[in-house]
Amino acid sequence: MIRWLLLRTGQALVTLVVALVILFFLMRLVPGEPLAPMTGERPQSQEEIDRFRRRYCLDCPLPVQFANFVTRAVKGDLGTSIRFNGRPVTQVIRERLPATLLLGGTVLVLNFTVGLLLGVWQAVRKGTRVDRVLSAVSLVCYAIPSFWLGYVLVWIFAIKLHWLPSASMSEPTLSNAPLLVRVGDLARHLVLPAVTLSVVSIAATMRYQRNAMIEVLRLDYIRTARAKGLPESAVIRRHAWRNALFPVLTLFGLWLPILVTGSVFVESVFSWSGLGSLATDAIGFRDYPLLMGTAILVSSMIVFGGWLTDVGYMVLDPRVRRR
Amino acid sequence: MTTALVPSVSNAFSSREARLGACGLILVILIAVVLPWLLPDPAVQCLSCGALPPSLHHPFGTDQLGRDVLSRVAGGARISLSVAFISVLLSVLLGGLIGTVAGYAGGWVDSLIMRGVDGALAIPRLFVLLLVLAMITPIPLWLLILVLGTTGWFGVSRIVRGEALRVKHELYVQAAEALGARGHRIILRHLLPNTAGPLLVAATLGVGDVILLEAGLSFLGLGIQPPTPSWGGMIQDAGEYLFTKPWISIFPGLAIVVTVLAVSLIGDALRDRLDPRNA
Amino acid sequence: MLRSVLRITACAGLLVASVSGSACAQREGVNGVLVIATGADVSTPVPGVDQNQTNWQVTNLLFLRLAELGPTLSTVGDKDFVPMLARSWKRRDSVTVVFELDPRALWHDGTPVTSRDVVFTFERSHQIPDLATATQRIASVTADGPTRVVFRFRHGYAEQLYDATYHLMILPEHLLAGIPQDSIAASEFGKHPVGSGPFRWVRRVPDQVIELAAFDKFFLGKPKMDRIYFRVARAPDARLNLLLSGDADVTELLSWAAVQRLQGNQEFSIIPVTSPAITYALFNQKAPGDRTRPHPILSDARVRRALVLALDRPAMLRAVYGPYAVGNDGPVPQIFAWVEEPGHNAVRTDTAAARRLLADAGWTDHNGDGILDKDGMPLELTINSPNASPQRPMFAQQMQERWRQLGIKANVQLLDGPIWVQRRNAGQFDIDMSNAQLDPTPSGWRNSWSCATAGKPAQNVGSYCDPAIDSLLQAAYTSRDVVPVYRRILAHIREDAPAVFLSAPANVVAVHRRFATRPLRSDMIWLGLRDWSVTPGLQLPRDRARGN
Repeated sequence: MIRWLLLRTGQALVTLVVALVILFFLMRLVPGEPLAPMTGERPQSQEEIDRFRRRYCLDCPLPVQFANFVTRAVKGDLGTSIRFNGRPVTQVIRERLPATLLLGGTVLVLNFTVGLLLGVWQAVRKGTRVDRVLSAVSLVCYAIPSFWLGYVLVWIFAIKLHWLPSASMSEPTLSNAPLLVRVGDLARHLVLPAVTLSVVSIAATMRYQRNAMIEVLRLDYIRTARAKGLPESAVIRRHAWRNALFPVLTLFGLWLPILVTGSVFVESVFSWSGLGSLATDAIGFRDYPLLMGTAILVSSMIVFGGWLTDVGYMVLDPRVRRR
Repeated sequence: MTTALVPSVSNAFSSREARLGACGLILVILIAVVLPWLLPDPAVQCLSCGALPPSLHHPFGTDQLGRDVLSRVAGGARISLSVAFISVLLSVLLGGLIGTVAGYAGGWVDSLIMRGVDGALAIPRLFVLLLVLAMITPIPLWLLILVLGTTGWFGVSRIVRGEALRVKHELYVQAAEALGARGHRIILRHLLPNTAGPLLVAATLGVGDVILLEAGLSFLGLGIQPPTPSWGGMIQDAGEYLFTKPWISIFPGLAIVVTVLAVSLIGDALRDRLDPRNA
Repeated sequence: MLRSVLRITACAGLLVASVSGSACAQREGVNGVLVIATGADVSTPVPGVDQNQTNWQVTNLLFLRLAELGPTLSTVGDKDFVPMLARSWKRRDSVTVVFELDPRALWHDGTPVTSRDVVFTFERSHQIPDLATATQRIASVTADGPTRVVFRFRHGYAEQLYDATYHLMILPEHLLAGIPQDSIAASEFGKHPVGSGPFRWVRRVPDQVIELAAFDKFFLGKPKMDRIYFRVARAPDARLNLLLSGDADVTELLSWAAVQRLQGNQEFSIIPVTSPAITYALFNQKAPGDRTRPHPILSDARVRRALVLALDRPAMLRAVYGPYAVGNDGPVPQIFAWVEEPGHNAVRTDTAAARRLLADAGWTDHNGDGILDKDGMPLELTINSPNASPQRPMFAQQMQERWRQLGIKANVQLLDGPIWVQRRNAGQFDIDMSNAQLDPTPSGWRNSWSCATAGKPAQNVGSYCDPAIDSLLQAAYTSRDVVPVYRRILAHIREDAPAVFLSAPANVVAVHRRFATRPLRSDMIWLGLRDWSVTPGLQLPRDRARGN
């Protein structure tokens, strides 16, 4: 078991490093160059352009750039952001991380409580009206563009009813209010973006879970019927329960990265300062250092998600390890 | 307990939902294929008309440049549907195949493939798309479909592999206690139908995904270029008019929802028929 | 005369102020809190460090100039300027101007503003390429006592006072002397700037909000706006939502769609402000990717003029901007509309003339495929547009469709930002959808329309060159009566048709009705904020909430 764990962890680290190396070169292969912050439409002198290019070593040969990056990265220095005028990448990312964790965490929790329960409930009531209605509703929610959903929710709850704020993460005039008030304010601002994002992810989770649960239930039913009360039915039922968790684990591993990727659409609609829009902006500006920084974070989470899933399989059913 | 792998298609559509789904899909396909011949050119603008609400002359109204929305929805159907269906089909096939192989084979094959998938997941799809599409502009439709299809299968393969692992041990138990020598063939015969479930779910969700992804791509300036309409692009362009001139974006949105619903109903029916445990 | 048009605009602004409050509101108006919904975060609100829009606006609230442009925004002469840090100025001779600083002016940390700060600021401007070019005609700036500054210019010209005041927001020498320009962004000063303006810096929550407070000891009177919050919301619809839900009071750069959504809403007044922006479709005079050869199609002026005449620009404008843009036929934004001859409308549509011009130039449909051709080459062009702009893709599609009817095949290519910039700078385009924010003076035309800058990245990327224009620009550089010279330049540009000039849009601003405002300045919308107040009786809870 320990040997497997070490092997698996080693594989994960190797995968991470390889992916990051590929990403490093891939992002520089994409056409287009980093936009200097002072550009926009103002004319730039050649001297300005040269100074900018020297500062970020944009004309250095690729291996040199790579070597520079690696030597600094092992010391924890991820370079300075082009777009943010030379601010350290670690600082820029750290500023946005809590907000992303909060939104992603809320969505993850909602997804794996509400989503799972609804999926199981549907499977148990397969073929009934409830099942069909829930299916249709979840599909419609999935097919609707998330920014529509976001804007419609804002229109209803913020503009018409004034129950919730329409955007942003906090009310600026409350900066000196007591802690409890500020926490409540943050919670109010979290509701609409979390709901918007959760609706879509819950719809997907529901469908996968319903499907998996149906198969598990069938197996269980037929087996028990066949066994006709023999003691082995207890073994099978315990087995079935474990089976039902497999797809949950897989989905969890796939959804875990949302803690650090955020969602570009939702962050745009609700002005939620997350890493999703940061990364997309970084791509749009070709801000290589910042992009590498976010990529390291996201890739780690993705690889970790896969690792967690496999460990989970092992815990659920050690026989998975054997061929 | 053995079942033929080939589903009996006529049986598959015996349920009401499946028929509904099939009708919906046929309707959408008809719109895509037939209507463009009957309707005015979607590119024709009428700047002085502006965005008119639905009327007899323009059943879906007109957009900001005075173009007939119905013509554009019909025109966009061809693009959006072909991109979505074919690329999702590709993704699902690739994901299903590779996931099954990995799950069934186990050992170092499984590890290698899955670590590769992990790494591929770590590379943002947007990047690859940006790279390919920026190097080859304007992009031919088949290449867009190919790129979308080959970058969309990673998550599916993980799910399928998980299922394959689970089922493999179910079937080992089954085979071990029942027959013995013919275990391998039974496993093969049962493995694929069992993974059909998540594959069909992935296909259903994938169709909606790709159409909306295409909207994001249009926004980034990749993919479909004007004046060729596409559903995702129409929704993107008319986003700011959602509350003042809703018809411009609601009709393409509705088209997407109808398509996704239709595909899922058919998918559910297929899954039920493919399930070997059905009597 | 166009000056009267501008006066009318200024009066209209005052009219709005009087409708929503009272013209004397500055005395009777009460304190309040202003929340501005803005589209970009501020990184370093120190002059010369970052040029994005929000940075610029916040910087203008924190820092002062020696003098501001007057309500007519005229940049010519000595008289139309409004005193700020300089209480008065006197001209000693044709190349020397002496400024007397207001002795009451203080920095936010309490120290007085002195002539050393002005000298320091001028010396710093040499290290900022943008500013160095703008102030290159200033020979020297010297201090003559603590409150007197002497500006010497290289030669006599009409815009001396403009050069001395507009470009230089005065920096505190006692705080910045030891910090090199490149390190400002990371320094303490960069995070908590100290200026001498009516508002002082309080705090910033990255990508969320920027908070400013009224400066108690502001020498021209403490502002009635106790706090100003800039709430960052990148999506235009999100900004509109902030207004509609009551979380923000003001926003600018409203699109035509957004204005339509606000129509009928009683809480906000819509104020169009003249803007320094223009939009145009630039023709590449040289072959795409090879600036040594002329463009196979567009180097012929007849073709260019035909392409321009074929378009119904007023209709295009209305579809994109509604009533909030003005057509122009030249690089003329609304802010120097005074350069045009009064009553002169240069925008023409003449499809018949366009067809004739194309035929004269040898383009007919020889092979019957619906597309004009010449010597076997079809009249096919690609229009590059950045995808991030909401209006330019619309214009591109309008052009594409209209030209299709004449037999011209145009492909619209929407491009990702950096790729668009790269292609534009390398000259790899046929037609480029461009946008520019111009300075308040037409002397800025040399950046994009002179031979000297032909082919230079981010400047004259279409390689347009007409030597007559260069000599006229030179004449304007040194003459006193510049308006006729600028008009002749415009006439040349129209004749040559180096671009399809599409629009001079207005900057549409929405303001909550409880504010009594001053007329909004086109290049610095929030410059008059120090004079804003809330109409008594219309205060909201947040106006009353905090003291200070």
